[in-house]
Amino acid sequence: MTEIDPGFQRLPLERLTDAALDSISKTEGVGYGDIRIHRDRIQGIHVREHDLISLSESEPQGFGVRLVVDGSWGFAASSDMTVEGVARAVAAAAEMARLLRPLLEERVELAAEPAHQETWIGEVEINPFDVPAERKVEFMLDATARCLTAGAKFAEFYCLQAQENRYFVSTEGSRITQQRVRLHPVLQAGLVDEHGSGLIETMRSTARPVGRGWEYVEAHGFPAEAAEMVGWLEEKLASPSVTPGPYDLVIDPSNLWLTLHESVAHGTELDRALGYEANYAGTTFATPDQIGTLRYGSPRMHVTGDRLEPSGLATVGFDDEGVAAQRWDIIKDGILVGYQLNRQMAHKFHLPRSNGCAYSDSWSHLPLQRMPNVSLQPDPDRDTTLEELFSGVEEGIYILGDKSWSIDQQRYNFQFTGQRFYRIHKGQLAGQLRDVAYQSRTPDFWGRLEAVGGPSAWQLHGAFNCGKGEPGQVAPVSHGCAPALFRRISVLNARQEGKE
Amino acid sequence: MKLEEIVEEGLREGAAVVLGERSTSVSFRLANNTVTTNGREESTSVGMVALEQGRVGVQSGDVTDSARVAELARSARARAEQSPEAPDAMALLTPSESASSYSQIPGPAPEALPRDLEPILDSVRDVLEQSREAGLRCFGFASADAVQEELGTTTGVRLEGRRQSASLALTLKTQDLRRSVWAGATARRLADLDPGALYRGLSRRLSWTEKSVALPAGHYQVLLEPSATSDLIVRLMWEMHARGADEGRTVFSGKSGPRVGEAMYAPEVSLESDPLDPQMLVPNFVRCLGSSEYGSVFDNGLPVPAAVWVEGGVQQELICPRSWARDHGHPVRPDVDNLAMRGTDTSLDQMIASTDRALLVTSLWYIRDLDPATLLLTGLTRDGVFLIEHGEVVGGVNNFRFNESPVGVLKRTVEIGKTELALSREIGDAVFIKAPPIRVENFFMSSVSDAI
Repeated sequence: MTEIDPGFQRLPLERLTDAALDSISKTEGVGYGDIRIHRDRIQGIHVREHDLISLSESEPQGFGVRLVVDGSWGFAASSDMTVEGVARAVAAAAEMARLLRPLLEERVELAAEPAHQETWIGEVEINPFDVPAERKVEFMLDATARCLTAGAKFAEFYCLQAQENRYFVSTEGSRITQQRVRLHPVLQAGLVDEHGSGLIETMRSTARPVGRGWEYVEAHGFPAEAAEMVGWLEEKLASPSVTPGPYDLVIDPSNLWLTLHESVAHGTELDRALGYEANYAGTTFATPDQIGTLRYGSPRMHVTGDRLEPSGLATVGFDDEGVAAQRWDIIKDGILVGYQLNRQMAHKFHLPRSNGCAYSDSWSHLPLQRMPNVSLQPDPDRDTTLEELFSGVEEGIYILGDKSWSIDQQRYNFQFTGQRFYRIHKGQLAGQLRDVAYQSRTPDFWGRLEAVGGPSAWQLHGAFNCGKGEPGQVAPVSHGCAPALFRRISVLNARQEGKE
Repeated sequence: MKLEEIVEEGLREGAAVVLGERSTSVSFRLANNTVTTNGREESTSVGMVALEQGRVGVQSGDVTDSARVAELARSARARAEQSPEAPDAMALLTPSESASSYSQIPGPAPEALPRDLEPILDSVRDVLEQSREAGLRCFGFASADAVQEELGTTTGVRLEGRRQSASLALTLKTQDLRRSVWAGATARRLADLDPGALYRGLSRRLSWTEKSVALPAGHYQVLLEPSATSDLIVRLMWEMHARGADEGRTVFSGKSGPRVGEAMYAPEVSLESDPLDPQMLVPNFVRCLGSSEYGSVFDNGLPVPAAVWVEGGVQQELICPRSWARDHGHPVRPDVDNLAMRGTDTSLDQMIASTDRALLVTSLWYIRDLDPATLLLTGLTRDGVFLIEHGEVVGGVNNFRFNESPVGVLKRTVEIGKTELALSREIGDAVFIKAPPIRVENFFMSSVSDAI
């Protein structure tokens, strides 16, 4: 069984949190307070062709103090891990709250949460920080060498690994220690596009970011996939350019996760719906007055939120406000039925409890309402296969892998590309296409969802770098889905879009 | 610990390059005419590069005391021992080869403190009050940051750099959220920004949207405001590296080599950077904790002179670290942390007045690569698209998705206005940018966005 990293346990956790509670208790007008101590380890390895380009590790550590003083938030954070540093931060947080109090129109109130005293660890088989860098670099250089042997002109491999340790203590009595590990291996091969631009075109491996350890990297099958990727790329470069128009699309989980992320998961964040992100990340068309009535998509659409999915990138024991992890419905039978919440949002929404979506990417940032794992549930009645989805298509496109993505600030208009696109002709795959981009409007797109694959085809994908908030924060998040069939979606030719 | 102590301790513990950094920031957010969240952050951190016979190990982290500095230095050394030789290995610079140390901001290192907010708080409160009284909703973000850096190497280089920046952005919406406008500004200090002036500009723009005009996708003449221009030119700059051009991976790759010397843009277009621009002061020496096409850990301390990337529409320079320059016969050209597009004396109002028919676009959003070969990007207009007819703004227009390349945009630029410090909508004040409003022909709006 995994243990909490001794390097984190050696920090003066109790001394600092006791000092914080003591300072908070002496601060006038405090209605609520908490302190989060973080120590993260983030290692990045980048190899290209036969060279190690960079191997670096960072260990951010510090703490953030959050207070509600006279109904006003105050937040201060510091890397000065001393009792004096904590006292200064408590004073600075109180000063922030008081300075900004005159601008406040509505007092901060938090939905209730029981106090928790627990330790939670995300289990992994091989912690990547226990693997010698030499072994990891050698493994990665072997994969790039195999790409080159298979004919690639260019090959690179990034691997980002992270371990988060947190200790959360609140004035309500919570004391929570947590640890989780994640990594994202990205192998990419390139060939000269002799049929198009004359420049290098790339193909990425099918590996995903996961809340798992180094065992995932070694088991993925990079040695075999390296050569396969070059073959996919050769076929893609020689394939016909897509003719724009409406197509039936079968979208693989490796592509659909990102469309789900942008058009559904961001669209159902309550802080966006209430305008908290209007100046930056944006709002959403899925406003709270429509809960229970807004038709988000076809009746086949069942979307859940959770912080429990095994190996999920947003999976935790408790969120950064000390709320225990949960699972809930967001869209059921195509209708909006739930939101992602933190304690403040839950109170504003007249709910008794938050569903645990507070997250801060650093000791230096205030926790915001961030995305849990948001997943499209598979067909509950039938274990529909990918081939069965193809069989219902006369003329369409099968899309795998994510590439370019963009969506508007209210989560309506989006455009996505992918890694590979196969023509579907009379229910069968008929070779690759290139230059495909699909563009749609969220409720139209999900309204055209005709079929979802079964539980056997369900996969968890995700990202390390979901952005939101001012100052900007990034969050890791997973999205599960099975392949799905969408009817008559507008497909563009990306190359023609760029013609002068 | 003082930064110079951190640097000396790291070097004593076996690091070859040590970059100490102290940073502070304060910020607050607004939504629906009230303050929402806020924060004050202070950090002291160090980044260390260990070298073992051309092998590199990099370790960084926040520090409180010398024991922590020693621990991080040991990690950097251990990592170097586990690494193969770096392809960019070169001798570290000596003091005579490095930038000369200078203090850009006289006096003690600047700090962003809660009280730094005070000069604008009354004004922001007035703005919120005006918004409430007008039946509108105001949203926004204000922040101030200060960073001090100290660089030391085992070859005797000792340099100090400082950076201070502040920004303020406001979004104003009607109560029914059917109309929305945005404006942002950046400066060295929050006290130099004027929330009242920003709000007055927004009120004027919101009044332009009282009449709404629905327009279809298609090609339009557009006037891009400085923020919109900034988001396109910064993406162009991110591609300006010699390695990508040499390897055939970017829009700067030509048939017979990098497109330096080629007239890629309209003759009026010039892009430049200067770390000593008084409005955009940034450290004038290389600080690099991870080698890439933009820089090399072996170049730490290298002087960063002013750059002219594009002159008269001709590409002049590409970013090139020393080792790549040595191996591929290019001039050395360090990256610079600011960017300016040269402008004229023509104001935006004058450009509007001389317009027959065009779209005025305030800001761009969610910009992503579509095709690296042409640097084709996709993105959206946001919080301010207006129709100009016969010299006047006649109404607000729906938003669009665009598919465009900054190279094509700057080739089809037919008029350039007055350059000003501009706040990028997507990257905020992470990079100082000066940009003008520009008039572009045949800007391709690929589809309509319903977003407001």
